[in-house]
Amino acid sequence: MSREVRVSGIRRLLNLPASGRRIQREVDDEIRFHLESRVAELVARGTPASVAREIATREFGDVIEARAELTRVDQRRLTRERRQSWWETIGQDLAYSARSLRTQPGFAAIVVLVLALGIGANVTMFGVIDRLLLRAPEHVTNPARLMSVSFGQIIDGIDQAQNTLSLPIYRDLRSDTVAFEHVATYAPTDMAIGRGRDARELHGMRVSANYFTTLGVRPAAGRFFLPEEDGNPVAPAVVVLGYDFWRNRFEGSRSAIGRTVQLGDDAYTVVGVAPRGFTGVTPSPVDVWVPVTSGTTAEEVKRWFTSRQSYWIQVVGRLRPGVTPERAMASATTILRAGDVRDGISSSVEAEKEKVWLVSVLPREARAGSADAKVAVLLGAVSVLVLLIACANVANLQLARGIARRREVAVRIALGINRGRLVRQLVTEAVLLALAAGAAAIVVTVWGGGIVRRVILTSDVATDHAVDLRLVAYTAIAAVAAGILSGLIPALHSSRPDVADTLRAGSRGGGPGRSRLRGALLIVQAALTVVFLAGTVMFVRSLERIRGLPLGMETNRVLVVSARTSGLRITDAETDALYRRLETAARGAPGVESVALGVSLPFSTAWAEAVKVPGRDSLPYTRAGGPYFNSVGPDFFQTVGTRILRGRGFTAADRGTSARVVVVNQTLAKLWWPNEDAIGRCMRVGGDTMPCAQIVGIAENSRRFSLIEEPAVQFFTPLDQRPAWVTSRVLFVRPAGDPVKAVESLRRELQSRVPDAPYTVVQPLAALVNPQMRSWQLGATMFGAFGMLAVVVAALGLYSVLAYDVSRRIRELGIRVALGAGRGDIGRMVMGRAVRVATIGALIGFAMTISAGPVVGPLLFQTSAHDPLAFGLAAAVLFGIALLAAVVPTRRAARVDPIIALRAE
Amino acid sequence: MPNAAAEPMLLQGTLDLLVLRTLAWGPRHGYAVARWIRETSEDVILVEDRALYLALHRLEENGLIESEWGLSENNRRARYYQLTAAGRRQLQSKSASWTRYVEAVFRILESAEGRAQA
Repeated sequence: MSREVRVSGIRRLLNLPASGRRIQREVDDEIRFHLESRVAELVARGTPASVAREIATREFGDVIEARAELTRVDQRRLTRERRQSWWETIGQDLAYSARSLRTQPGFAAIVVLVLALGIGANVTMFGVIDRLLLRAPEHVTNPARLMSVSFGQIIDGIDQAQNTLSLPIYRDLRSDTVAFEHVATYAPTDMAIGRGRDARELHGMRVSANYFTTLGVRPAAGRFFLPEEDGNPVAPAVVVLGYDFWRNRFEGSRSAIGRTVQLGDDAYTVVGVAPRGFTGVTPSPVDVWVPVTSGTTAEEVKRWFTSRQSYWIQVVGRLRPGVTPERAMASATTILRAGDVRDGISSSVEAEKEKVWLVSVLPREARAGSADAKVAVLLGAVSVLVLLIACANVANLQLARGIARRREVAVRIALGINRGRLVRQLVTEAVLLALAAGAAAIVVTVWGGGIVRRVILTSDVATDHAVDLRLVAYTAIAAVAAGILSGLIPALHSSRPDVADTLRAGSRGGGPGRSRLRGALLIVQAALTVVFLAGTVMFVRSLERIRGLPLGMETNRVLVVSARTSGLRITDAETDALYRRLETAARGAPGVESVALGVSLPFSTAWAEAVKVPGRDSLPYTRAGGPYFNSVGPDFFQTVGTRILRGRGFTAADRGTSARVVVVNQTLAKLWWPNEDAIGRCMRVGGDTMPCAQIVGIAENSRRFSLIEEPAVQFFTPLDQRPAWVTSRVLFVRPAGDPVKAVESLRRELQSRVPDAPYTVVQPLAALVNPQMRSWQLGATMFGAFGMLAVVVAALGLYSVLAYDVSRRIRELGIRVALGAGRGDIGRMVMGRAVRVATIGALIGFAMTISAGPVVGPLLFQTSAHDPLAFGLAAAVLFGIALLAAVVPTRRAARVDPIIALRAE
Repeated sequence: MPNAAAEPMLLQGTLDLLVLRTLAWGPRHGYAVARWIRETSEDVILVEDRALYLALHRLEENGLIESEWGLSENNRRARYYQLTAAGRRQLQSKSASWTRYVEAVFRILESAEGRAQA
């Protein structure tokens, strides 16, 4: 029977000119028939054969040419017909699939649900990776040639690069005409619009006048900055508005150009509007763009342009055409070294260690090394695995359904539908389901993706539209792939020619091969589940370890208060007075335990100052450099929770006029007085000419910038004994209760007690640290979510296969019971299968996890990629769900009544 | 035997029209079409066979005729062409406009003659 099916298929093929060679042959046949008929006719009329042939050929024209022309035309027609019939059959397949799915809405719903979860996970991660790594900065011309500049030293073979530069270095780099076509600078700045109660914080960006030209961007309205607006020595009060800010504040009206905006102390004239979505070379949204030196005095600008070691700006350079990044780096390095020697920053020997690094602003290069990016890519890979699990699961469901549809398939084969067509129809059905799932996934992404993006991208990446065309396109591709993946194997299986036997055999059965395939798919799911569970445990443990790190301060107990003085023309004395009033106000606020002022904000700023110790030519430092200091008020140490290990902290008695005192950190004490007591020693802060400051206490080490960093030499002076040049301030507040809950009440309190203060920000100190935990947080959360998903899906899959198996083997089980098998034996058979799947799955999962170790290991923190706890827990959960999935089928099997089972057939 | 100078120029689209007309009475193979045109026009319209076949295949490509292999009068395998519904419609509209066109040409020729005489 099956042979007949195949023959009819071939005959169908024969009816169509299928190949190019066939077309050629038919054209030849046609021409030959024509010529021979003509010759025969002429000969019949009495023309001699040789003459007749000559006439026939002449009348025909160029045979070779004709043959080529005709073949070409036929070929074209064939191609078009094929394409047409392909679309027609797709249409038929879709209609058939829709009809057939309508009869099984339960099955369709489960498949759509499972695939929607898988595709949704995938699409969400794609959205994140796209934002984080794939998408080029918007509106920037040829970003691959636009380089972010960083510089630093190579110490012990390790790059110590920093991406903040000083204005003098920037000016030097602008003279590098070998490397760059343009060099521009920018620095983020938080500015306040309006004053007092109405003040609102803006995301500002200070930029050089040539910034926009360097990036190659065009204004949406008005113009960008002119060369003479570069702000040296005095910046004109001009501003370019961000597109969204323009829309919100000026309703997107062109009349905004020429109007003014009050930023800090000055009214800025609007000269232009940046194009929509433009955020410069960094992804954070920007409200206003102002010249670099805006809101300051000529004296201050002069200081900025002479202080080579005041690092606060970032620099981008567009490579000169034809110059390689390597060559540009070499050229810029030469210029940096020459400048450092000229300005007396370093000797020519020291300068040899200095270097300039250039990395394109494309996120995939700029962020290549970041932990966030690595974790996002890992999670992307994991989300593909989630989709694979979902596909395996659906394939399993399809196989089960395929068995149920054997009669239908057999009938169709008997009716002469060829197998390719049948497979295609079944796959079309799977793709149709997957597309429905894709549509559902987009809905899921709109809801759930927002949360995920907030977790992963936080605020430093603009998250304007959740779903865009790229995402939809990706979803469609993922859905079609998932459909083919989940539908192809079952389709090939259920369309096997031997299916025809089914017509005779009735709908019982389902070969051992099929059962083995389903078992294999189950094992794949189980293995991947183990991988996820193990990954979850590893990331959760990493996160715990990182949270448990001693930071040298209680970040979860402290609020930091800072007033946005950027753009305000206030003197150091005025700043000091402002913060003293804020301090007093905070001290009087309800629920505040203690309050202290400082000049450096941990995780944000760290000032350094030269220190001499009498009788020492040089002092040792760690690789982190320094010495760093903070000048702090009396209650600082108990307010931020830094422990004084020996000696004392500061008191109200340590004033500007009293004896000079310092508190040093452990590292300084150990490094400078290794075998002696540091307390009572003399330090000259600011150099040899300064008076002796006596060390009165030793504090535990605390972090400067990062959770994970080399300890640095660090000390504290009383606020009133601070180096004269320090102008920054920050206020530390320790509330009695949860600081997060105290943020708003403290802000309101300060607002009402110091109503004329500029815009004041209150935030938990933890908020400055948490972004650094993000990659682990992310790993733990997402692995956890994907792990849960995998567990649910795998449990469903296992249950459905076991339940199906039992129902299929009712007769066999009945016979076994009839032959005297105990109910326990029957139950053990079903349970045994679940345990077997779990065991093999766990072993394969372990192997996969171990082989992923080199990738995952570096992303973990103080946790082994072969963590036995992770493996143990993963296996335990897997066995748990396997047993759970087996409970119902086992009970059903054990209850088989031989009489009923046998009669049912 | 006809010579090239005696051949009236065959206007674009005219050959297509002739082929469609030829097939209006039923399926024919290419050779029969060629012979019918030659004989019906009494050797006035002479078409290179190559051009005829090209016209046939192009008409097929455009869906105006369709082809099928069959057996010829003397039991040989031959490719038979027949009009499709679209071809039949095309034949009707094209022969009407062709007739109008020829009549117009005639009128011009006649009137030119008349004025020359006057």
